[in-house]
Amino acid sequence: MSKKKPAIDTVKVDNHTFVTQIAQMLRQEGRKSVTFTVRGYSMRPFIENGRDKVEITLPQEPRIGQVVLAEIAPRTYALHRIIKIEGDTVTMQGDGNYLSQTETFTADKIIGTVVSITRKGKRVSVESKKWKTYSFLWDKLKPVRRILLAIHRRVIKFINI
Amino acid sequence: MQNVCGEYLLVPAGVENVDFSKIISLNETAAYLWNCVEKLESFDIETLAELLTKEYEVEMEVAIEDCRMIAERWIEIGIAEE
Repeated sequence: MSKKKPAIDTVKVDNHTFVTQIAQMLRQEGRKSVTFTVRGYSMRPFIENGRDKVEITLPQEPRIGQVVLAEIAPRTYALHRIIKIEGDTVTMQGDGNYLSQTETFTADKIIGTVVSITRKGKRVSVESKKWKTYSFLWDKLKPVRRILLAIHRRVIKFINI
Repeated sequence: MQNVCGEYLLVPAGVENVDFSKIISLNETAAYLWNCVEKLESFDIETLAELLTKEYEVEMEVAIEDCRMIAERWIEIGIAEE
């Protein structure tokens, strides 16, 4: 055995195993939330693949604008923003997606609700003004989202915004 | 300790938030040792070394040396105290 410092490795597991684990942990006694690093680009520009983390709790009452982790099809999961609620049916869309790129499912498929995002190492609560302002503006900018995302994709290669 | 996909993960019990990006994973040998001692009030390197020689074919001297290193790392990452 060689002497070395504790290693920080990234362990990637498949989504189904991971989400099952998260759901189980959320139900453990005394647990309020679980935090994990996000994979994927669909919540750009705010949440970046591999860089940012989200903290989720057990599902809260669904609301438009909430970001939730849900099983959108058997063993398929996404962490997106709720854009429509009709009775028991919830529709969500990634901030980095547009037009018809939405997912619709029943509310019982929600695994957890995001309560904070750690963006570039800084924790942003979903109750904070920063998040609320961003959410409001991003919604208003929907008509030009495609253009903004294209710019963001090009710019993020050079500067980390 | 929980086994997720062959990884032995140390998940703190009873804490309000579990952060997966800070979770501690142990290899099989470390997991075996941890399992044996986690319920104990205290343990020393000799305890670990004895456990190690019981389960693995290793000389006591080597076991003590290895266990000293693992104990140091456990202290370093904060899952054990000196």
